[in-house]
Amino acid sequence: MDRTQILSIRLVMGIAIGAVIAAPVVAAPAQKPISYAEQIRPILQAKCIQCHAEKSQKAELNLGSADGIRQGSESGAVLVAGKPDESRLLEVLLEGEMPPEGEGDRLSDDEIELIRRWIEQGGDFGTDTTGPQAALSQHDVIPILLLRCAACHGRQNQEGGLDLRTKASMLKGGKSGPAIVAGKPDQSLLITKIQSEQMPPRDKLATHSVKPVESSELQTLVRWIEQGAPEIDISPDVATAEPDPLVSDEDRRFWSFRPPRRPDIPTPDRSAQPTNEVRNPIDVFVLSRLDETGLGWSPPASKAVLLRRASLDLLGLPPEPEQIDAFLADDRPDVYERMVDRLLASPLYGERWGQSWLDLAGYCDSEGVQHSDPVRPHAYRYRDYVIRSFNADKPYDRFLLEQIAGDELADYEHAEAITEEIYDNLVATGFLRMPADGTFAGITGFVPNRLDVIDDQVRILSSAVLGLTLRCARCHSHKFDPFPQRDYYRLVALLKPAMDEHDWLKPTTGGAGNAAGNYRFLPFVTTGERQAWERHEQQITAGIDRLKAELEQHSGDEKFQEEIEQKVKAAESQRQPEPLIRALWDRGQPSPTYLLQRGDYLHSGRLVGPGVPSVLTDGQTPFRPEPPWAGSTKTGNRLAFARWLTQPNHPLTSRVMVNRIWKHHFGRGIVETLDDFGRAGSPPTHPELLDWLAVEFVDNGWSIKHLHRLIMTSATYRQSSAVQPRHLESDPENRLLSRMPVRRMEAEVIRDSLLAISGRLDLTPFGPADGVEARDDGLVVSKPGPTGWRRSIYVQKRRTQRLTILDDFDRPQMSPNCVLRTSSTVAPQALHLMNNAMIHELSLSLADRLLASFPEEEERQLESLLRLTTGRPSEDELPVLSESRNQLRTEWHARLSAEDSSSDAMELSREANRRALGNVCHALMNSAAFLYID
Amino acid sequence: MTSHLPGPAAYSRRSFFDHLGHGVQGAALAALLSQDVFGSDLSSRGEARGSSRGADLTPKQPHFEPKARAVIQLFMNGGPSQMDLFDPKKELDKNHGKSWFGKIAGEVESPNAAGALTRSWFKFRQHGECGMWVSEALPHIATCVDDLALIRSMQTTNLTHEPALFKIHSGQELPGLPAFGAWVAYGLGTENQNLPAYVVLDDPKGLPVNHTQSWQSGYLPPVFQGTRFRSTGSPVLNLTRDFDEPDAVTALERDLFMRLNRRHRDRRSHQPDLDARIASYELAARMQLSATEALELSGETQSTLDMYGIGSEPTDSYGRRCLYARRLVERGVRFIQLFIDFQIWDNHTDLATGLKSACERTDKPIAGLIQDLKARGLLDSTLLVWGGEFGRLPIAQLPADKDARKAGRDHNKNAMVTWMAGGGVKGGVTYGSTDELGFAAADDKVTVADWHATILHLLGLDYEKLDYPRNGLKERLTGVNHSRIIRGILA
Repeated sequence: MDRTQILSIRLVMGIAIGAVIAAPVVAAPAQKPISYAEQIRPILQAKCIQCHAEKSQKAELNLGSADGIRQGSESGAVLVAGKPDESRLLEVLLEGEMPPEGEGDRLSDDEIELIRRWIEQGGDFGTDTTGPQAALSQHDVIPILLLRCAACHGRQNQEGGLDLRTKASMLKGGKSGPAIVAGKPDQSLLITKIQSEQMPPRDKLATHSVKPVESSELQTLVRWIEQGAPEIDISPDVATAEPDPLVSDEDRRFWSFRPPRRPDIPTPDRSAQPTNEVRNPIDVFVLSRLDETGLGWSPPASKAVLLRRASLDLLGLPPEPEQIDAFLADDRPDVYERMVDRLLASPLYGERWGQSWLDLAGYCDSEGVQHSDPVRPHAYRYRDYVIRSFNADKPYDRFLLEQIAGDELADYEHAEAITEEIYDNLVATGFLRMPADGTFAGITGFVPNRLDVIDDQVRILSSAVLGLTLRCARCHSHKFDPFPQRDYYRLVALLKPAMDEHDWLKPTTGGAGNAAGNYRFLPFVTTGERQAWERHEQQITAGIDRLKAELEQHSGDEKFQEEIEQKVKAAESQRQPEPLIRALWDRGQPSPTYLLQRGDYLHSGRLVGPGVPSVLTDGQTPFRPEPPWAGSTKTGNRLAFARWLTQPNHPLTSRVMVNRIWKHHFGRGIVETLDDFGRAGSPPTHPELLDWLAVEFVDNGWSIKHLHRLIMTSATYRQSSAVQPRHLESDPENRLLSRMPVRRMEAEVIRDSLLAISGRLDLTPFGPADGVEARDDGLVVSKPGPTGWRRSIYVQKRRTQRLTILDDFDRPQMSPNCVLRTSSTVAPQALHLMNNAMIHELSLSLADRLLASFPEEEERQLESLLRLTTGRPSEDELPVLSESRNQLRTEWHARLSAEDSSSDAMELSREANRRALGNVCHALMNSAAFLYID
Repeated sequence: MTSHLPGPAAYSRRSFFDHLGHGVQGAALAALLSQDVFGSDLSSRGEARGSSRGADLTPKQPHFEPKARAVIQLFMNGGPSQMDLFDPKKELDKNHGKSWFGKIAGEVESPNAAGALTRSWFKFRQHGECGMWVSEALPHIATCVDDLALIRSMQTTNLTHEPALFKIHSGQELPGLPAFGAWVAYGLGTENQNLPAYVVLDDPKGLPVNHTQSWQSGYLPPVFQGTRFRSTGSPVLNLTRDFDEPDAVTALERDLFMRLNRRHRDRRSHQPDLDARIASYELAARMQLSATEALELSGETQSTLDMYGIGSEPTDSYGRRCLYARRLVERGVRFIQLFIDFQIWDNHTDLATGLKSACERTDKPIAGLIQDLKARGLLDSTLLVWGGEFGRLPIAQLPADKDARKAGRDHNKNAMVTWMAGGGVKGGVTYGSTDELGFAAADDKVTVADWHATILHLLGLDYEKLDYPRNGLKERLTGVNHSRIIRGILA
């Protein structure tokens, strides 16, 4: 039975009950009109007003006045005159949803029936207000004009000199005169042009992503002008010194909404732990939980296992054989700590950990949405920025500040020179430009499409940085957490000076090189890069000028002319596109932000200003953005937001990040739901450890490398991954960290490691992405350079062409980002490793590498192979490999001599040997010992 | 654990276990096939935590007794014209040539090319015992109407191809979300572990508008995404060696890595993922045989091939894919999605010839599929769904030279026609209606979410219970709002 059926049955019952109880009334020949003022208002005042008054407005609903009832709630209209079964007000009463359990007395059946009949009779408010139609204001018409007219009469264009964004500008009008005449709709050009279907012009609808004015919208415009185009002065709802009535102090006491506090380090019972030393406070916290269950740590893993674990964790690449030998031979007491430091200092680290941040940001090298899936040629600068930031151990607070408000940190437009720092600041804002975005095309560039892009961005911010599920509040107040709907729109308002659906910047130039116009590119690359490019272009221009001058001297000589033209063409092809930054910046003068009922762009509610979720503040500190520097036209919205976010005692920022780092090392977060620290999320398994790490993180300058070092040098991290029967009994899911988990390499790590051990990995960092190619059979492959393939982070991430090997091994799709990767074990992975031509080619490269390193030393070749692939100098597998190799060699020899009996016997043996070793390498590439991390 | 679903005997799970090769232990395979593999100590699957189904392809219990156990989606990219195929409009004939643009200006993708109201280019006639109206463009499907439940009152939410495709395939207009077939695979698993649960038969001539995104798994684990089967050569990516090597060598190498893997596993007890991985290699080997065999048509009789139009043009290519679909259904594949050549139904101009050609390529193969499934007793348990991403407008769309003879129709999200047949569907039904001109659904409107909910319902799945937890929300194919099962078409 669906909802409408339930409703109708309840309605029938309601009517029946009403009929019995209110029989005398019903029996009366003429139904007496029900008075809002005398009969309905008292009920609402008694039973509903507690939560739905002018001030509190829970669910954005004010039942305290006729206007409030007409305005509806965050879910839209609550009263549909004459139609009780379509009125949400009645539905929630009949379904028993309201008043909520334990929050006030239910309405009696009589009262509900009275309301039903009142609605049935037309829901008239009598003399309570100005009549059935409420007074309108500019806030009823501005959303319509922005939606239907601002594309040509707004911020970016004022066709005919007309700007329709404010009443003043409407009165001022354009070339044809004022757009409105107060009180006279039929003399207002605004109305007559729309009525005659001249506006919006039919031939511009598609190109400007505008829909015609709806008749109900036209009526609103007419009525507003009829009423004299009244304006009212309401200030947007921003956080003020007065606490938000919808968020209580009790809400603020939820664990993750309170600032973390450095806890005391417990004293564990040392007798329970005979094998491992406690190495740092992490161990004490972990051990104290393990002690509770009688479980201890697992024994420490071997040195070889630790080296491989640490290398793959930090660099995403296995250790080289020489590194293994050196590490195993080194018996200094701090050899492990030195190794961790060496890995942290490697430039390969940023390429591994940068990827985890790019997952959060939703990084892609194309726009998606449309079939054409346009490439983002400038996006790589952001990717490089992230890698460099991780390598430099940029403090996390600074890292966030740059990505959220980099454009408000320095006056780049008036800077004498664009320094590396200014450049980085601007590139960093690419973080806010990552969602799939079809607004480059008119047909997928309408206002609702733009709102979806903004929504994705809010979602990225809230899931990645805040660890919250704020997007629920786009359509309604959050069901579990104390986020009223306005909290969502406050964030939207905060972004609006840079992301304004009524003043939209398109994501691509559609292939044209010139980025002038309303696109998302800034030319402020470093002065050095800019000058180098300009010099380069000037040289080409000068060269071409010379050629043309020569041509003039030899006019008439056709052959010579052709030759020169060829040379000019060749010179032109050397031109480089202008270096640009794909950025986001505050442009001042944002459109007003209205709360949208049910998230529907056609139903604007109250005016909202920038702010942060109230529950994360004390409720009494106003959110006050200020222009970032004197004379700036920027609002400073995002700067204020970023500064709030990176306060040392912010309840979420540090906790969310340390939890994420922890997850990448241990396979599970202390809070398992990495993107939900709210009430519906998982509670932390080790709350004190989480807080200790968070405070330690901030106290050490938000250093991510400090966290890695702490975690990786703990005894907890150094445990063996062997599962013991007692683990299955007391800690089956390893929530208590009684061992390390066995993990499969992530997609990029598999590909990079295969390339690395084969000697085919090109370690050139940075720069434009390497192209991919979709073969006819559907396989998507990356194009190699002269010395091999680059790391996966440098391969183009096109939404429509996903590299097959990464796809097969669970590289996530961005929708809009990925907070937590899943890992599957399926047959296509086996098929890929067994049958794919590139893997096969790599196995032969690996064989060649081994043969070249240890000519004639078969055992050392195999030993080295084991070291490369599994990190262990394991003795007992050698005979197995050796035996197979001999069999394979015999098989290859027979095959090769059958194919070509004429060739040199030596040559044939060599090739059979090479092929056989290639097969052994291929087998190791297919082995769990290679793909899994102990 | 046995599925209660009626499965083809030759491919039942029982026989699957019976035929386990020497290289894998029953326990390991059982581990792969049991939900425990993914639920025990593998922490990397945190996002699947609390999901209502497992993250693997073992057969799952439906929520209630299903009517259909497999779906074949005949997707008609481009937006077939409802008033030229299944929805005759007398008022449109009467008002032919009248201007109507002003009434629907906001609903036209290309306002500059909009023409007047235009009657159908095709003649309609009633067919079958039920008397369903079908135009002369679909003579073969017209013979199957007593098996079809026609929905005339379906609507979608976007009139542009890409978002409308995302909507029909994944329930929402944006990319990156799980395809409908992925939801079905997630909800029910599959009966034949030697083949993918969700197979895509795309046209070698061209991918649909959203490329491979039309069968992605989105935020669901990648194991649920659609697997493309190619019509020529090796059906699945990497199914066969993409390099030259003697079979004996391959066998030797395979023995080696299976030995290594078992040794590795034996030293690590209680690691189900390692067992699963060993089993995945066995499954890969089986898939090599099964997938190739599934697309092997040499055993089909000439009369069967003729029924699908195989061997003659223009039906050969699509006919083959329809026959593959039947063979895959017989082998226990859960969801099969058929595409045809980019968007042949997008008849903006020259509709008279363009629509006719699209019909000629698909009409006979589809009728053949229905009849063949019926003859083999498979239609009762197989659900066929036909339709595109939206419908078309009653007004003409004019070519650049404004020659009305070469007119077509523009996109229309307010009315589209689809049909279902087979498992659990009442044949011969015409459900819902459009307004007099065929512009918008009028009675018994069906949303895309209703359509999805109904298909899930026929498969024994409750659309409100089939969910996946993500970022604080229990995500569903049909979104957060209530949907409606289209009871009027149920048997």
